[in-house]
Amino acid sequence: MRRVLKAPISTAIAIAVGLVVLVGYFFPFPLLDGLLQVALLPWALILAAVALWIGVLNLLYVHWRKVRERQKGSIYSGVLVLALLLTTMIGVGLGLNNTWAGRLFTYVQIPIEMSLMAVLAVSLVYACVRLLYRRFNLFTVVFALTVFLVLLSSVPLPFGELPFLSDTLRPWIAEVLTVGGARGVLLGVALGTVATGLRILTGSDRPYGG
Amino acid sequence: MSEVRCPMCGKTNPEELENCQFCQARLKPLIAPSPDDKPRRIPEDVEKPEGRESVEFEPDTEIPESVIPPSEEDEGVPEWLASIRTRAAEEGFTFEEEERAEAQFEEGEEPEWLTRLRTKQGAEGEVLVEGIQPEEEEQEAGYLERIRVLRGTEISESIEVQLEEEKEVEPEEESSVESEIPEWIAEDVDQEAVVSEEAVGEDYGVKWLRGTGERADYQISEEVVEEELSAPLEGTTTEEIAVSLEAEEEIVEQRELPEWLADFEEEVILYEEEEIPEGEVDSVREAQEALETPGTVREPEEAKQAQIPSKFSFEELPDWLGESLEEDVQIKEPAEEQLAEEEELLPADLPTWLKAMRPVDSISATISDIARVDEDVLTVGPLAGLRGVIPAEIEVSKPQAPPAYPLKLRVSEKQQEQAVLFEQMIVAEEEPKPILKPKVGRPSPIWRWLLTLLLIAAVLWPIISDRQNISLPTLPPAGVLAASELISSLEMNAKVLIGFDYQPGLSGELDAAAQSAVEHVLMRGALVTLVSTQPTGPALAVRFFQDTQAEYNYTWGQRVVNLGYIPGGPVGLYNFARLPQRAKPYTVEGYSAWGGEAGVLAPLQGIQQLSDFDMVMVITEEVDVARSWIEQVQPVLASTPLIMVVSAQAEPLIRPYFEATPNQVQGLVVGLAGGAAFQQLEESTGLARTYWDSLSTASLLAAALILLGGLVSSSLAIFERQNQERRAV
Repeated sequence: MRRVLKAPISTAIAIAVGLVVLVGYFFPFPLLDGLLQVALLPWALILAAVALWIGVLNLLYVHWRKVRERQKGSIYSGVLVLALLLTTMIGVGLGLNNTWAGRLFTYVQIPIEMSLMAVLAVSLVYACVRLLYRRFNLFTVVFALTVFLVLLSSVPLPFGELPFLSDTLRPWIAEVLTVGGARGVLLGVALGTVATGLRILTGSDRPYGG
Repeated sequence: MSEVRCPMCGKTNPEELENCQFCQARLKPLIAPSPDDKPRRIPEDVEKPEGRESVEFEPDTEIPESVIPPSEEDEGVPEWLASIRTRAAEEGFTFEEEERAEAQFEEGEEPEWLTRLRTKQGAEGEVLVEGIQPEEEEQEAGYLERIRVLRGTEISESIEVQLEEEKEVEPEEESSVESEIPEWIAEDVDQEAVVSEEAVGEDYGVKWLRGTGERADYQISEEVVEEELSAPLEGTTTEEIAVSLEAEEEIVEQRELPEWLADFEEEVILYEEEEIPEGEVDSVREAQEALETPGTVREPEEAKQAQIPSKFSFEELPDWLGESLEEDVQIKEPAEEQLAEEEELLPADLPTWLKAMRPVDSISATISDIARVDEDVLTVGPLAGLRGVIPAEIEVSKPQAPPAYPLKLRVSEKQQEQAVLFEQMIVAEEEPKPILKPKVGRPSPIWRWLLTLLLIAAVLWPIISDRQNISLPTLPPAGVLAASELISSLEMNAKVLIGFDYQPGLSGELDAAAQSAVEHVLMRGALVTLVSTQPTGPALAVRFFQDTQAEYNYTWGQRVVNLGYIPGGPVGLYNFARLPQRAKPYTVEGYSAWGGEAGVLAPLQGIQQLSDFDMVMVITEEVDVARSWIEQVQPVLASTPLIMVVSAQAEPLIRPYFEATPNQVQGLVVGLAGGAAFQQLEESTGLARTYWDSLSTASLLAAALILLGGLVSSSLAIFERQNQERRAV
């Protein structure tokens, strides 16, 4: 297999760092541990923090350009810019413990996001009802029936818990079927992570470019 | 040693052979050969000019009988010819006249007709020329000119040049006259030098005969001709010449001419009057040129008819001759009337040898003969030029353009109808069929709004009515029970690390789920350190403590420390788990957390690693964040327990870590139900209890809507499917 490394330096750095971190997991050598703790991890945290700032500044620049050029939907961009500046000023200037910061967070951000979640709840119920009409087959019936049973067994009902659903069916669904599937998902994720790490270590995958 | 080329295969053979030694084809003709008649040799280097077909000598069909010497004729006469002669003799036809003329010709005597003509016009040519009166000179000059035009007689080029210089007549007329002079005369001059000076030199009336004499005879006669032509043409104009020509014609008609010449003149007139189609003009011209080439021999019709009496039937002739004659007769049927007139006018006293020599073949060849020549003449190969030869190369081997066949099929009406029907079927198959998309009914806004209102009512009704009728879970889950036990085991001023890693949108669920657990921690007098891997986590933590734990009179920086946001996700967590002092040196308020002027904050005293904390609690709704804590932090916690407070949606993926042995998560509180169970376990009040009735009512309503709606939707789907099947049937 012919591979051409366009950026051999960056590739070498990535492979070397990955090997150091991986070896540090299995062999707690003081030198490797010190190198990892002193140099590599702070660099990674600094880069992540700078990346967050770059993201915020980029968001501000993009929407500010839309407002300046008066593009379509620039009013929303203007609202976003104003909200960003206001939140930043309150958070940085007054601090997170300030009452205005708590109010801003409690009365603006949380209701907005919770409203979205509420709409999601209504939409899911409606979609589940229509699913049986649009795609009426065995799997949709099983899906809808499972949702129905889990809903009934997850919360205590006004007339009390259902004997079979609450103590037998619901735990079996949640702890056997669901956990079995979740473990399969976790194993797949772990194998995928190992494969991705090996690809990065061997230089086959270069998400850093090159 | 000379060689003869076989006319069939083209290979050379010795001259004495009669048959080709290669293909056994006959090399010599079947007719009796004359002493001078030798097999014709075709020079190899002779190439036939392109576009010009020449007719080769065909000894077996066209050689006149008169050219065969009498002495050898008897010996070489075939039976058919002998029988013809015998029959002619029986019916009174004799060849005495011809034989006598030939004898006279050989002995140098003048024929009788020539003597008579000479007597009539004057014995001496010079006397005739001098004695001609002016009027007679004009008539004579016109007569000569007329004869020359009609006969196509050639006066040698030198004479013509002199005539042009001296007479200065119109060049067009002269050129036209000159172009009409046949070449056969000039060729005969070279080929036949047997005519005597006396026979041709002084006879003006038969000027073409003079051409058959030698060149010396020409020189003698040129002077006379010049005198004849120059005198009357001097000082005359074209119109005068035309008028004189008309008058000359009348005189010529009245003049007594030899019968043979009169007949010949009639033939010429007939030939000129014959209409030639335009398309055959070229072929006629080519045929004339071919006939004028040396070696070509054409037999005049008159000679044929003279040689073969009409009384003889074709049955008595050999096959080849009979067929040839039959073809001629058939081809010339349209000109029967004309031939009949010619037969009536044909003279009987024309000498045979003169018939054979006169150039009537050049003008008596009919269109049919020319056409036949064009058709039969071989154009390629060593036998090029021969006629009637089987072509060496078959027609299919010749490169030729492919035949053009008509594209239109001949079909009947029924076939055409069937073809149209078949075409319609094919076109119908080729047309793309539209894909029938299943009818998707747009969600009815009425039903959506109705469903929304029902759910909102179910959620708000318990809150508005302030009725908490629905009992909390009596049996707490194992995770809640384990978490409660772990918190309960905390000592006073135990150091607890709590991670707020959830989104504000899910704060309603997680606040209620974590409220009882955090409250239990604070009740145990633990010192709390807050961190978050989410940007909004620190603010959520502040809000959470302000809203739910205000009654515990905590002071930021004293019992609770907010270290804020840990950037880098899993890497940040790993770094924070290894070196928390370096990862988060300051609090959210900007104070030094690990050793400023005020010293190390109480919650962080004695903390060098995460394992130094007494307990770690993570509140999150995201599976990845929970996994990062479990994978990056839990390994360095050693004996420090890890409690997870997660939303209901993350339970399936987090529960395996709790149920594993050894478990990586020692306590697990899931959602509002977990919070309510924890609250029930701790016998406290809080958000879980407040939300519990609403949650129960809304969940029951949602289950009912799903059930009823599912039944209705299923019924509609089944009904519609049956209708579709009925339509399909």
